[in-house]
Parts: sequence; C-alpha cells; structure tokens
Amino acid sequence: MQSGPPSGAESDDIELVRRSQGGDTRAFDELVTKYRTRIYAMVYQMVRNEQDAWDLAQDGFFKAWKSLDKFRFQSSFYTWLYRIVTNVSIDWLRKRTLRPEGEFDDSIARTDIEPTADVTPKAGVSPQRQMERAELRDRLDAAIAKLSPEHRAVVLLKEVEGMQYHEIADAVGCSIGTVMSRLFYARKKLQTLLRDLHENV
Amino acid sequence: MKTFEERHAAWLDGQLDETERSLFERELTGQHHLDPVAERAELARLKLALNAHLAQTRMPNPDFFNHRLLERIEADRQVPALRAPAAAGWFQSIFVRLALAGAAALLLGVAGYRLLISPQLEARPETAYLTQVLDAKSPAPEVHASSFNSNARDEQAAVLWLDGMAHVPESYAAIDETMDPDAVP
Repeated sequence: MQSGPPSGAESDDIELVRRSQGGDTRAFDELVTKYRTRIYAMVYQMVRNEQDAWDLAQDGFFKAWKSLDKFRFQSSFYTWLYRIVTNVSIDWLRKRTLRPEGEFDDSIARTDIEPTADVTPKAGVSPQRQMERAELRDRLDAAIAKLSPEHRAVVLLKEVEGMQYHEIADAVGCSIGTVMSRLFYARKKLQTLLRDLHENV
Repeated sequence: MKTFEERHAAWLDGQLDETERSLFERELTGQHHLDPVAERAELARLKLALNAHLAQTRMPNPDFFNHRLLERIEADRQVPALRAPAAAGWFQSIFVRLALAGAAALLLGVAGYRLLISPQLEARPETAYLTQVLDAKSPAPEVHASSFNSNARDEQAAVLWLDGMAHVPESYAAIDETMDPDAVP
C-alpha cells in the first residue's frame, strides 16, 4: 500500500475530477479504480466486517460523486475522499455498537480478511509462521477494535495511509493538535494491548 | 506551548527539531521515567506491525464494486430526469387551479352581493324625517341657506331653511299658488 498520494497523481486527479464534475462517469470510474482498494482497506480497518466495509465504501464513493460540485481543489482529491469516507464510517460506528468493549470475536477476523492477500503461501514459509502471522493480525484487529472510532481513524490514517498531520486533520475535521493528541492516546493504548506481541514482530 | 501528548506524537514522527527533541527526551527520562530509545523502538515495532498486517487487506469483487457504483449513479441521474416533467405538470396545474379558484371566488362574491347586499339597498325603508339634500348658497355671508325634501310619500314637501337672516326679503316672499294670478291688481 502506498503512503500518501504520489505527487504526479494529483495532477491526474485534477483532470479526472474536472471531467467527473462535468458528469463524465468514466472519469469518475477511473478515480474509483485508483482509490477503491485503499478506501476499502481503511473502512475495513474501521468496521472490521467485509460486507459492511464494502457497503460503506460504496456509500462513500457515491456521496463523493454527489458532492463533486462542492470540491474546490483546496485539498487533494485523495484527502477530500478520505474525509467523506472517514465521516461515513465514523457515523456508522457511532450509530451501531460494533462490538462490546474488550470483546473479540475471533470468528470474524480470519474469514473476513482475505487470508491469501499479499501473504500467499510461498515456498519457505512454514505453516507455523503462517499461524503466527494470522495470530498477530487477529490481535491487531482486536486491539484496534478497542479504540474509539475517532482514535481508530487517526491512527490508521497516520500509520497505514502515511498521511501528514494536516491531511488527517482535514480528513477527520479537527485541529492538528487534536490529531496529535489522538495519535498519542491511540498509540499508547495499542502499545499496552500489544506489548506481549512486540517480541514477535 | 504544546501539550505533552502533542510533543510525544511529534517526537515519534520526527517532527521536532534537534533542540526540542533533546529537551523532550530529557523530559521523558526525568519526569515520566521512560527510556526514549526503548519507547521509540516499541512504537516503531507497532507501526511496523500495523503496516505489515493491516495494509494487506484486499477488496473482494473490485470490478463489481465499480459496476454497482455506476449503476447507483445512473439510477440517481434518472430520478431527477423523471421528476422534471412531473414537476412541470404540477407547476402548470397549480396555475390552472389558481385561475379556477380565482374565478370561483369572483362568482361567489358577485352572487353574495346580489343576494345579500343589493336587495337591502333597493328596499331601503321610508322615513318621515327630513333629509338634507342640498346646501344652497346665500348672497349674504351671514345667512346660511339649506334645502330639505321630505321622504314621506304623502308629504312631498321641500323646505328652505335660512339661518342668520334678520328678515325675509320681499323677493323671498312665498307665492300662494292657490291664489288666482289674474286676481292680482
């Protein structure tokens, strides 16, 4: 996964966004293809359910299409899209109690994340190592699930998406100071929850 | 002044300059009893773990995702197109309805006038009292002259009322129509 949009991508985005604003669905389709995986991954990490993540990513892109006329090119399309999708996800999480605090349903994590994605068994990777990876991923999922939606969004945008503070602030609609503060608490909580795993990472 | 949390995030993400970094690391050791090297290493491992395991998520059915989204967009585009003629029809019918309502109100008003107000005006009851029908002018400023008609059917009289006149001039003398004009000497 990339960390932040490539610089050249922004000029391509501008052209595609302009065409989309003119009603060109093919241009919008290109934007969707470009960002769908990252958007889906982000939403999936937020909601931890494949079907919900798929639907919410759909809602996010659809909302973006309907709001395209409001996009003024003051930020990158990528950041603007993330703001919409993050808000859609956070709203959804607020409306729904995803899982009680501290509880982890391990029947979800292994089946919902495509187990072969990028970790397709290769020669030399032992079954024991695969199990350890799967366990680590389960633990990470469980730990992230214990964060509030706001903290979850900030830590994922920073650590997984590699966004800058100002981009995260723009995406989640808060100040840079709040982003930094949320990052601190989210990291500390994850650090505490995963302390025993660090030896294995 | 940034909070400890903000400085901690900035320190971890390499956003502090050299002076700020050394000050913050001294603070970590002195006030928070944390080893900066171990703290940074632990959080770096966390970052590595997050990147290694969470960034691998793949979207199921990505092509269907686009297809479904474009279907939604097309469906949404057609809805306003379908609504537009209906809206125009509604707009037109509003005008027709307003015109009909106006005509009905006008007819109702005319009928009401005819039935309720007009008969009252025509069938005004007769009175025995005198009604002033004319203000007459007098050549003398101190004299105010008024003329009255009686509405009573059997009286048919006109009265000339003169205020401020000391005496009736001879020219105002009433002519007795019952007298025979030929009898005047």
